Amino acid sequence: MSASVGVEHQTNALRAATHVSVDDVRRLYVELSPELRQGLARLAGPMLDPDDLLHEVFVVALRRREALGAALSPRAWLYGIAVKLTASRRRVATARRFLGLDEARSETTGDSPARTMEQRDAAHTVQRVLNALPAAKRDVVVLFELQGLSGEEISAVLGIPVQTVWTRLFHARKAFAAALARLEVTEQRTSGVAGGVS
Amino acid sequence: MKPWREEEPDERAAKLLHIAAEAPAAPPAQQWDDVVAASITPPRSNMGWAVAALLAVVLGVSVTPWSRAPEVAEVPPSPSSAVAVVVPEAGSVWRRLGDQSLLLERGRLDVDLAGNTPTHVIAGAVEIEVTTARFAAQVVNGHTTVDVVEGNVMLRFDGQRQALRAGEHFEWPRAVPSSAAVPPPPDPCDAHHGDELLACLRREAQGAGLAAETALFELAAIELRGGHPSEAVAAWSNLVRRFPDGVLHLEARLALLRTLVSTGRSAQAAEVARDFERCCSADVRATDVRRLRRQLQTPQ
Repeated sequence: MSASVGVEHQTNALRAATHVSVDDVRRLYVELSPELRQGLARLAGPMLDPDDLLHEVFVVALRRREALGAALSPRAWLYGIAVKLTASRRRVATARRFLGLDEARSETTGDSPARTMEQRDAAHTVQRVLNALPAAKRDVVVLFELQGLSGEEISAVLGIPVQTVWTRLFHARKAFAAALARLEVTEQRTSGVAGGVS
Repeated sequence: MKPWREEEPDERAAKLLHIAAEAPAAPPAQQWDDVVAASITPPRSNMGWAVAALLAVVLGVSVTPWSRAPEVAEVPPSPSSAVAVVVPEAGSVWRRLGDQSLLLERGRLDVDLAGNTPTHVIAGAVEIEVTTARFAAQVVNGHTTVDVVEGNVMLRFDGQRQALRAGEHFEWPRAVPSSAAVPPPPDPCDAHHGDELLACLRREAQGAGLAAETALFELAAIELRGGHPSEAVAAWSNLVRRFPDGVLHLEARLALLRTLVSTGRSAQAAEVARDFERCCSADVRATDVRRLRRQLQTPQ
């Protein structure tokens, strides 16, 4: 959610070092894994296990330490891997479900006990709306609105110009609001109860 | 760019995203050791599915008796080396690192080894050096266990060495003894009742360490039960002041907060709540405390 001082310190340390050690990656894991896991859960939706994805992201990080060391922001680099990995796994999962090889996963995975009921409900609704968005819009909403990455970081993550990030975000917000409105209408119709989705 | 634009004022969506974004992240279920173990395994190609499907078809067509037998891998003997029979448990992740080494990343291996040259089995964070022995190694969630059935093995872990003989069991990291198995120290105030108990607890509370902290907490609880909330507040405040990071500080802060609220001391309660938010923001009750403080500070 936030680039903490610790991460900044690690960023500088990684930048200064020509060689990224396993211990450097471990420190990033300790610092960033809860945040990345949450981001992966939001990017991936209910079809994939965020713990498996997080595992894979850091396996890639360990195998490609040179690329990680060359990145301006290790956080953005890890998110970049996360986005690519999630997109690839979503495609595979969709194909497997189409072929009847996979059952849909339960959506209740690894909530923090510190979440309030309001946050749980909001997260659940947001996830349902995100699942209805195209991948490009979903990615930018998750990265900017939920994970708190800057425009410059998202630019690095997605490999697009910063200006495109803002444009995409503008359209993604509109799409999100429209999808939320549709979801609310559907909920009202099916439940027969007036009021919004909570 | 952060605020939603005026001409697109979907406050519902913005508010929903804001609330969802504030939700704290849960820690990952897997361990760093698992990541390291996976990173040294060569990546599998995308052809895995096709190969697996082909194998499934072949196996389905030609059912042979050995298809039901446990997987037994014989390490090919090199001129000087041992004859090893390795039986992995289903689902285990392991591989050979040359003639003289095995790497167990996850699961269980039963190894029967008879030879002249030491063979190494790396099981999680433990390296097992063995010449002739029969043993089982298991790695589950970064936790390694070794059970020797016959012969001797030499273990290396965390810069240490330990020999393990037949019938012995080894665990790494070592199991932490359960606190339930350790009898609690006798409480000197246990024998007292009524005013004697209070006097004893007051004496204990003047001491230091855990004994004083627990005495203060119990003193406060007794005073509260006895209908003396001011004395209870004084004892809990004393505990928090003297042991701000003590084992009972969270409970003391919350009990103090509850007592202050129930006695209508809202300003003091708000102050205690603010202290709780400062010191203990990671606690699961911090959100409730924050809400309570806001209510206390809202003009009626």
